[in-house]
Amino acid sequence: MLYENEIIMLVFGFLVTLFIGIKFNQLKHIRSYKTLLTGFYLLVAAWFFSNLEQIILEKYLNILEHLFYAGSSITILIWIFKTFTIKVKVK
Amino acid sequence: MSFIALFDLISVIVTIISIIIFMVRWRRTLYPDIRYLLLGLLILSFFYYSSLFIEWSGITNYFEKTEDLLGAMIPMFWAFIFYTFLQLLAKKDLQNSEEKYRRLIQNSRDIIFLIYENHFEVINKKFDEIFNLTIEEVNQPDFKLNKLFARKSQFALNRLISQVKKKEKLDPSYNFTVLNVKHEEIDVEASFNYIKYKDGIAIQGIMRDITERKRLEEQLRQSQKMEAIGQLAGGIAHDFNNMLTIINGYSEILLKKEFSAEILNYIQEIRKASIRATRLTSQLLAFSRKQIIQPKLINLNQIITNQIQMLRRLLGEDVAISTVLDPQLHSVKADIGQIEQVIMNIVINARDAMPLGGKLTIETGNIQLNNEYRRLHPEAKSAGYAMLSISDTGIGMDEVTRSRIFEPFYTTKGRDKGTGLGLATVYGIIRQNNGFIDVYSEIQKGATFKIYLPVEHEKEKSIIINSLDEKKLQGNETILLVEDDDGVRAVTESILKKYGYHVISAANGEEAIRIYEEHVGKIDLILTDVIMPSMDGRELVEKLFEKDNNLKVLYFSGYTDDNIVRRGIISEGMEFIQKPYTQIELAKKIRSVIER
Repeated sequence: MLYENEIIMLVFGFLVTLFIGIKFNQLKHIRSYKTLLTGFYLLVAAWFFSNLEQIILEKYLNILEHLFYAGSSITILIWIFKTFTIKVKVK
Repeated sequence: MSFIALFDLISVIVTIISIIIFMVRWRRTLYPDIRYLLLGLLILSFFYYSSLFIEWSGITNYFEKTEDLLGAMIPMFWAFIFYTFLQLLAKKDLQNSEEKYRRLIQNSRDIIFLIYENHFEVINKKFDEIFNLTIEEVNQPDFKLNKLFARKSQFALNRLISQVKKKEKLDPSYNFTVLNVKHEEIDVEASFNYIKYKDGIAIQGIMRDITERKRLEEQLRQSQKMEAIGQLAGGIAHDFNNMLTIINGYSEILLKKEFSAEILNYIQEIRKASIRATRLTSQLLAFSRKQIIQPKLINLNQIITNQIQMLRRLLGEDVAISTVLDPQLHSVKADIGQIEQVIMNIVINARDAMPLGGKLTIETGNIQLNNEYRRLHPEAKSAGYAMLSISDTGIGMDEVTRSRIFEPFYTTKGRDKGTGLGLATVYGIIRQNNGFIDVYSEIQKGATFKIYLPVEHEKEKSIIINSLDEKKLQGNETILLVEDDDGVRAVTESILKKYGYHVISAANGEEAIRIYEEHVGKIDLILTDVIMPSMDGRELVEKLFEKDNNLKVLYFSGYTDDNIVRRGIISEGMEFIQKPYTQIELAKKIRSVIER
C-alpha cells in the first residue's frame, strides 16, 4: 500500500531534481557540487525505493532504501568536510 | 539488530558528525548565507533518521507520525538550499562583474565619470590625476563643472549641457580643451552616453587626452607643408638659375666690352640685380634642400670660434655675446658654408629681435636623446647629437609666429628689412644635414634656437681648399660642353673661349658621344649639365668612361634631382659647379679639374 507522505516526498524530490537539471550550469559553481548532488540523488533514490517497495520486492527494496539513506548521509558528511574545512578568512 | 536498523544508526551517527563539523566551522563557513538552512536540514535529517532507527530497532512506533512530517519537510529544505545557492552565486557573479567594471574604469587611461541627477556617482583615477579632485570635492555645492574647461571650450560645453537637459540625442564625439591641476590646457576627445542607472538615466562621460596626437598631427601637417613649399621653391629656383646664368654671363662679357659710361652703368645694374637674384635662388635651394653640399667632418666649436669676430660686428655694441662651448663636443658631418650661414641667419634674426640691445648666448654640447624624446620628435632619428643653441633676450614671439617662422617669405619684419628666407634657409639646411631644430620662445623673454646635428664618429679627413692663382686661369685645352639649354650653352661657350679654351658644344648626350668619337684623344675635359632630356649627364659620362676611363669631368646644374645627387650630395670624386656661376668661378673650377 502506497503512503501519502512517501509519495509527497518523492514528488518533491523529483521536482527538486528537475530544478537542479534546469539550473545545473549555475549550480555546478558550488564547491564539490558533484558530492553534494550525489548525496541528494541518493536520498531521492531512497524515497523512490520506499514507494516501490509497496509494489514489489518489499523486503529487499526496504533494505536498499535504508542503505541509500546511510549512503546519502555519508556523502553529505564528505561534502561538509570538503567544503567547510577549507580555510576562509573571517571578515 | 536488523540491517535496516544498523543502516539507520549509521545515518544518525554520520549526521551527528556532520552537525559537529558544521558547528565547529560555523564562523568560517564558505557559504555563510546558507548555514542556517543547512543546519536546519542536518537537524531535520538527524530527527528523521533517529525516528527511523527507533522504529526499525523495535523500540517504539510512537514517532511514526513525526517521521512522516519530517520526511515531507526534507525535500523542501533541499529546494530552499539549492534556491539560496543560486541567489548566492548570482550575487557573487554580479559582485565579480562589478569589480571587473570598477577596475576597468579605475585603471583606464581615459577620464571616466558618471553623473546622475547632477551628482557625480563615479570618477576614475585618471579624473583625479588630471584635475586633482576627489568625488567629495566634485559633489560640493559650490563646484562648477565649467571651471574644468578652457575658455575656448565653454560654448561647446554649454551646448552639451543644453542637449543633456533637453534629453536630446548626443553627438558621437566632442572636442574640448580642459584645464588640468596646473591650469595647463589638455585637448580631449569626449563621448557622452545616456545609460540606465538606478531608477533613472545617468550620463556617462569618457574623455581621452589627445594633446600628444594633435601635436604629432600638427607636426606632420607642418612637415608636409614645408615639403610642398620646398618642392615649389626648388622648382622655381632651378628655372631661375638657368636664366640667371645667361644674364650673369652676358652682363660680365658686356662689362669687358667698350661702351659708353652710361651703358656700362646700366650693365652694372643688371649684373647687381642678377647677383641679388642669385642669392635669392640660392636661399630657395637651401630651403628646398636641393642645394649642392659637400659635407665634411666638422667641429661646431671651431666654426663658432672662427665666426665670433664677424658676429660681434654684425650684432653691434648694444648686444653682448657670450659663448659656452663644450670642449668635448663631438664632430658632425655637414657643409661648413651652410653651417656658417645657419649661424649667421639666426644671429641676424636675434639682432633684429633686440633693437634696444640685449644678450646673445651661443652654446654647444653633446646630447643623448632618450627613446621618449625620439618618440615625440620623429625627426630625431639617431640617439647622439651635437647641439648648437643660440639664445637671445629679445622680444620673443607668440605661438602663431613660432609655428610659421620656417615658412619661406614669412616675416614679421618690415618689407625692406628681410625677404623671409633667412630661417627657411636654416630649416632647409639643417634638414638636409639630417638634423632638426627646436625653437623655444616667450613674448618679451627672448627666443632659443636649438639645432641638433647627428654625431659622426668617422676619422677626420683633410679638407682640400681650392686656392688657384687667378692669373693662371687661362688655358688652351679642348673642352666638350654638353648643355641642352641653348642660352646657357652659348654663354658658357663664350666664357670658356674668353679664357682661351677650345670649345666643342653638344646639345644632348647622343650628340656629345658622336663628337667625342670624332675627336678621340683630343678632348681634355667634359663639361656637362646633369639633367638633360633622353640621356642625363651621369649616363653620358658612364658611356664615355667605357671609351676612356681617365676622362676629366665637371658637372654643372641649377637644380639637382637626378640619381647622382638626389640627396643633394655629390658622390665621392665627382666635381660639380652650381649654376649660376660667375666667369671666375667657372674658370677656377675648370683649371682645378684639369690640373688634378
